[in-house]
Amino acid sequence: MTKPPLRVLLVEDNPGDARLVRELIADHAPHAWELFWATSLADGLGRLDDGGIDALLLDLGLPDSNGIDTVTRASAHPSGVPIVVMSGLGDETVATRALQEGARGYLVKGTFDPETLALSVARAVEQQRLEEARARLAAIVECSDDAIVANTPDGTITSWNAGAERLYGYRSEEISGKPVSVLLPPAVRDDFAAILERVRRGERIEHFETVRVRKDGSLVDISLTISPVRDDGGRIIGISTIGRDVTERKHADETLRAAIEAAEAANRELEGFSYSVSHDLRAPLRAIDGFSRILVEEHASALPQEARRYLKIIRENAQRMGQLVDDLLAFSRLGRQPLGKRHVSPAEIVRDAIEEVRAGEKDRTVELTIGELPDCQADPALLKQVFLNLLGNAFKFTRRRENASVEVGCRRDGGEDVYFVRDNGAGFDMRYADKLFGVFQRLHRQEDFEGTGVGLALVERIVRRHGGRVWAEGAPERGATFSFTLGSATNG
Amino acid sequence: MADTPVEILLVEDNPQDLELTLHALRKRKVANHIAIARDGAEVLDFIFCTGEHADRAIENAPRVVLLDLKLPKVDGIDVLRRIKDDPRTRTIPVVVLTSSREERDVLDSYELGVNSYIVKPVDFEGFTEAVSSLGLYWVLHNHQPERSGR
Repeated sequence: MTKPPLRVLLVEDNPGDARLVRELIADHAPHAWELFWATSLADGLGRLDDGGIDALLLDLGLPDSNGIDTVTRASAHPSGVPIVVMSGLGDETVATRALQEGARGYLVKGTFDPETLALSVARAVEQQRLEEARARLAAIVECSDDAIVANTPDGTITSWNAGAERLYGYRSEEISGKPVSVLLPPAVRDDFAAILERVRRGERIEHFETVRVRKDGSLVDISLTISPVRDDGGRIIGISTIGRDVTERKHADETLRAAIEAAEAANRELEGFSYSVSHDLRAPLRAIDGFSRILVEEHASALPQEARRYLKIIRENAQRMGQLVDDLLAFSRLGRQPLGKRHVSPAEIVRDAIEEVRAGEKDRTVELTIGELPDCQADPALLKQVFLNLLGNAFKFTRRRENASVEVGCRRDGGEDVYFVRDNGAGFDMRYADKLFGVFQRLHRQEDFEGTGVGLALVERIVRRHGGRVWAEGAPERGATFSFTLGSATNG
Repeated sequence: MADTPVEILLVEDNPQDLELTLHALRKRKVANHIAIARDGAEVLDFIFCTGEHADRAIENAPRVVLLDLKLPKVDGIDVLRRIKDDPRTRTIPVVVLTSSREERDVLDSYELGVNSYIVKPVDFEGFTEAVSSLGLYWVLHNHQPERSGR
C-alpha cells in the first residue's frame, strides 16, 4: 500500500508561501511528498531538466515570469510534468486560461486546506498517467496495419485508425459518427446485422471473412474480428472491429486452386489419352491379326509358301505392337493409381511370382535359391510386379545357360534392407547401365531376347514411388544383379 | 415371323471387329441365330422392343448379349444399366467386350451386374477362343428363365 512519495517541485519566490506549503504538507501527510524548491521559473525549468519530478506546483508571479505566460512556458517543458497552479489571484478568467494552457489544477493562495493541496497534486499526477497510458494505446492502435474501428453498440462509428483509412479510404473525421453500414455492400447487410446482434449479446467473432465496400466503391475481401467492449461493470458499451485485407491471400489461394485444377485437367487429359490409346490402337491391330489369321487358316492352299511367311511376320508384329501398347498403358496407369502401402511378406510375394514365371517357362530347369526376405511396408500388388519383372528377366536372360541359376535375397546395408535378384545369364555392359531403366530402352536384340523395354522402367517407377532406389550390376555373359530398397519404412 | 429365337445379340460398332466376331462364332458353330446391333440406341430398341423392333416381344429375349462398351449414341455402360435396371430384362446375361483393362476397371466401378467380360486381345486366336466359349456357355446355360414383372 505504501506508495513512494511524490516528488513535487515548488516554484515560488516568496519564502513565506514556500514555508507554508512545506508545513501544510508536513502536518497533513508527512510521507506523501518529497518537496523540492525553486525560486524562479528558470531555476524550476532547470530542475525539471534534471528529471525525476512527478509534479510542478507553480506560482504565477515569479521574478522572471508573470501571469499566464508562466504556465505556458512551464507546460512547454519537454518533461510534460503535470502542473498545478498556485496563485494569489482568485480570478476565474485567469484560472480558466491557466487550465487551457495545460495546468491540471488551480489553487488560490490562502483559500486551500492541506487536503485540497495534496489531492489536487495527486489528481494531476494520476490524470497525467492515465492520459499517457491512453496515448500509448492510441499510438499502438494508430500504428497498426489492421483497420481498427470502434463502434457504439448500435453500430455508429466512434473511432477509426490509420489502418482503417488505408483499408477503406475514408478519413477518420469524415466517417466518425456515421453508421458502420456505409461500409457494407448490400449482399452482406443481413449477415452483418445478425453478427452485430451476437456481439451485443457478448459473443466474440474471430476471423470472419467477408466483403466491404471502400469509399471509391470498390470491394475488398477482409477478415474481421469483432468483440464487445465492456466497462468496468461488464456492461457492453461498444463494439470493436479489427479488419485485415485478405485480398492478396485470397488471390494466392485462387492461384493455387487454379494450378491444382490445371494439374487435374492435365491428368484427366492424360487418362483420356491412355484410354484412347488402349482402345483405338488395339482395334486396328486386332483387325490386322484377325484377318491375317483367317487368310492363313482358310486360304492357306491358295497361298505360296512365301506369302504365308509374310503373313506370319505381319501377325507377329501386330501382336508385338499390342504388347507394346499394353505395357505402355500399364506403365502410365502406375503413375496414376494410388499406392496402397501396408505390411507385407516379400517371401510370399516372391513365391507367387516364381510360380507365375515358372508357368511360362515350363520346360526350363533353373536352379533357384531364395534367401531370407524380411517383411516390409509396400503395396503388395506393385511389389509383386517388381519381383515378376526381375524374375522374368532373370529367367529370360539365363535361357542359354546350361546351368541356369537365379538367386533372390536380401542384405542389410547402411541401415537399409536391400532386396536383390541375381542371375548367371547374359548380363550387360556396365557402360549402358543407366539405359536399363528407361522406357523402351533395350540392351539386347529382339531376336536374341524378346521384350518391349518397359519391364525395368516399370520396376524403377514402382520402387521410386515407394521412396526407394533400384540399381543394377553386371558384366556381359557373366550375369546380372538387380538390387532395390523400399524407402525408409522398409522395416516398419 | 420376327420371333425366331435369337441366341446371341452381338453389339459392335467397329465393322472389322464385328466381322471377326461373327466369323469366330460361326466357325465354332456357337449359334445359328445372331442378331446384330451397331449402336447403343439400336440395342435398346431391340431389347425393349421399341422403334424398328416394335414388333418384337420382350419375352423373346436373346440368350446372351455380347456388348461392346464403346458405342455410338448410347454408350455400353448406359445400355447395361438400362438392361439391369428393368425387371423384365434383368436376367438376360450380358457379356461385355472391352478393349482394354482400363475399360474393365471402369466397368468394375459401376457394379452393374455384368455376367462376364472379355478383354479383347490383339491376338485373334485368343479372342476367338474367349468369345466362343463364353458365348457358348451362356447359350447353353441360359434356358430362358421365367420372367417376372409381366
